[in-house]
Amino acid sequence: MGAPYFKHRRTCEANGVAVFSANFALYTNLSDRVMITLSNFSPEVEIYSVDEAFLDLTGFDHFDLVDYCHIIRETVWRNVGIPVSIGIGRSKTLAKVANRVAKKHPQLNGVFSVLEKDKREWALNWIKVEDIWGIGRKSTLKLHALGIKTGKQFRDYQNQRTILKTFTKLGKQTQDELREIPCFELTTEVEKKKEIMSSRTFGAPVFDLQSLRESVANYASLACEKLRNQNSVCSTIHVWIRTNPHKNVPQYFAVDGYRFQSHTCDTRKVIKYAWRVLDSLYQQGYEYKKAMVKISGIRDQEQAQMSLFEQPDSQKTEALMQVIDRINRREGAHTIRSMACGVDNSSWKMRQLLKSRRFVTGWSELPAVR
Amino acid sequence: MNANHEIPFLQMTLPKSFQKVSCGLFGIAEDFSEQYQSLDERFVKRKESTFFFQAVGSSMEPTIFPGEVLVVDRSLTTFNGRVCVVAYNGELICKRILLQRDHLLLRSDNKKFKDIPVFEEQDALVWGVVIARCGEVK
Repeated sequence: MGAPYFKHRRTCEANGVAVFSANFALYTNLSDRVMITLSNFSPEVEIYSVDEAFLDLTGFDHFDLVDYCHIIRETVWRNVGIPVSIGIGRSKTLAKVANRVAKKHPQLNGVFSVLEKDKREWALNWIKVEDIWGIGRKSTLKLHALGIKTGKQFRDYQNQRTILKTFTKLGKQTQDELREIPCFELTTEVEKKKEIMSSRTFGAPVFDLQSLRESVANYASLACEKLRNQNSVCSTIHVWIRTNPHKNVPQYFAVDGYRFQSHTCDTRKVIKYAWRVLDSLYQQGYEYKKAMVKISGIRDQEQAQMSLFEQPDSQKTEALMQVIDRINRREGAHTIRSMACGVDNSSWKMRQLLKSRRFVTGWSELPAVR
Repeated sequence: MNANHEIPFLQMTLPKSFQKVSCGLFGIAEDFSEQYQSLDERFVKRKESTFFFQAVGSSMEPTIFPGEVLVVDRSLTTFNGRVCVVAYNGELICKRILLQRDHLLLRSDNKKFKDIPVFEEQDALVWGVVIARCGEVK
């Protein structure tokens, strides 16, 4: 269970607990290395999240798949130093069930397959329904009400009408997947984001509007960069601000949005209207802890709608954005940014005081060897 | 013959970046990467298993000098006689590995430093093999 560090700091210090702040750049780098290593073992790899991937092993049937996966596991460990567990099944859902078995039973050395019937029956009987991919808290309660507690019971539940009605199409597909009927294919193409959110918790509480404006400008810039990266434009922005719910201070949470009449990816325009929304939300006297910016109504650049009343991004704007992105990619993130984003020692910057060094992402912080 | 028909053999022999050149030798190709040599190409054989370290101290002189960047590859599996990064007693050190009959020797190329014997029950692990070193010349 997670708990805020500041509440348990004394206990950690007294017991010599090693504490590190999140180092997202490091995690992403290591994740990339794992994924690249995996890509050598199958032509179809879906990167599901920072630490999960699906590999299509169709056509590899002449191998002993369990042996093959042990080789994959050992290679990832050797190349990157990250331990992984692997589950093998005829559908994504079953593969995840097998993965969980592997993870929870160290004697399996990280690999488990549910291709064989007896192993599959055992695994589905062992796994609790709430630990199945696609079944959340609400569905679990409904399943328990029907007397369904294990994966096996869910798979064998006959009443199709009840399943569709209570759990909708997704529930039915999950059940089918448990029955070895694959419903979810591997998506290897990077899907364009339909919404882009950017937010950070502030390192120190913020009271004034100017600091909030700076932080919102930064998040808006980041979001716009991601937007341009996928050759999209957006129509709507939302801004949230809130106080710290864990702290005993007067609480405030507010959100509002603005809709452009013409799609845009111009950072300057997005910042201008994000500020307009922020100004309308801001109330003095509160200790703000977090701000968020979300852009939505995302379309491909070519499909963007033109409006009679609002200027779309001009060619000059597009060219300017392209040059800025290219320079930032080459020289480092935020080399060029709007003055609206403030200068470096802003108090609201995320307080990663205990962050491990940029071992793999910065030349000045390489690990040392004697 | 169709005027738009491309001549197949040209496509096979020209490197990727040339396809962006509209005409002539001095066209504007955006991606110049294939026209320049890079240290990465020369020394990083497998990027997912290559990590960089900074050398500290003089134990490996004259093979490696303090302050140099070490290119370390985790995917290599032969260590005998090679300079490696070793996890020893909770620390990462850089030494040459010499396989002995029933133990390992961690040798410093600098004669002023003693060999470190490592027996099976000890806490030591080869982290990766140093394949190259790189540093500014003052």
